[in-house]
Amino acid sequence: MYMENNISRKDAAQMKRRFISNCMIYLLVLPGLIRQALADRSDDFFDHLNELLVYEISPEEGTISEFISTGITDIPLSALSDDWSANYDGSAIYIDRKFIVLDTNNQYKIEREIHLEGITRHPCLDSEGKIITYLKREPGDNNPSIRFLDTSTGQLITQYTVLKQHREILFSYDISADANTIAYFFIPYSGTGLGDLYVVDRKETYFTDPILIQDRTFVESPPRVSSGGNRIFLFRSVCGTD
Amino acid sequence: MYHLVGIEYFYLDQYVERTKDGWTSPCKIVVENATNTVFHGLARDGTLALVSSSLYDEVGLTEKTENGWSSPQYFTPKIPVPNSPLISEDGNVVVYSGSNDRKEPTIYFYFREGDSTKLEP
Repeated sequence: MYMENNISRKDAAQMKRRFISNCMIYLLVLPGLIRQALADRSDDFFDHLNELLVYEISPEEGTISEFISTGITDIPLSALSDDWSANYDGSAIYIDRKFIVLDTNNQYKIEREIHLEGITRHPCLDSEGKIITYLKREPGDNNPSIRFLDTSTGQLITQYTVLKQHREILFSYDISADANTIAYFFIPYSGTGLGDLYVVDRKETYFTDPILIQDRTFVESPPRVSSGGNRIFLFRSVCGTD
Repeated sequence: MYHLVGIEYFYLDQYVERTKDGWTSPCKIVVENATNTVFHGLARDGTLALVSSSLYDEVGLTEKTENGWSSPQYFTPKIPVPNSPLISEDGNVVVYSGSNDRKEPTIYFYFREGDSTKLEP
């Protein structure tokens, strides 16, 4: 965990406990903006929102802050569905190519622009906001890779190129909050709704061989990997039974 | 006997765990005393899940114990049919939204140790 920074898994766990003890949770919420946009409806309403706002929540004190304006405006609606991520305590946000951080004055500011190459999906900041991961696929190409960028530079740290025989992963993947465990579906049984679930671990700049977790299981949504990469959850829907 | 419940579906869930000997076989999440269980969210640490009755009139929290998944601790949401709730990563806050009058969307926060708090944007 956090091998790049010589931080051990134990240290990371302590950091996480500290976060939890502080119980400072930031949530990104936008309905107020949507309501405002409805009131101020314009031609481009369906393309953009006006502003990104944040609530700060303290469960221990039972308080919720007023809006904190990020100063980030003109956000494409498309970014809200599948192109944004916040780190564990909300001190870092990636949205619409912008990497935004919370400074010591409790003000959000754009730290830098980070362009994700290719057809990208599912960007995900790690707990500390130091790494952003995403799935990259070139137009017309069936050769996806999961890339790891350093948010302090925007440069590529490493990437995991899906094995040739596993390239139909169809965006069904998840990554742990420490960016060290990837779970993904390989879907070889076209049209059946069945897939094989694999796990890959990142060790600094190399990756372990995929481990088959479950074969021929129904694929309805991406797997969910727990923060530390120790549990993987699958969700599926069936008709109710008596 | 199978039956449809409106447009609702039940969700079955499975999980696998990493041990020193590798990954366990997939296990089903079985929550006792939860009727018509629907999973809506999951704390990212994997220790807490959010369940709901099929009618959305109650929302329950469950967590993994040594003996499996605990019986849900239910609370009644402030609105009858909340949108799919989210749960904070530490599992202590549930956030859901919806509207009583279909006009003003409102965000609600449920603190695990306290009552729901209404927040009007």
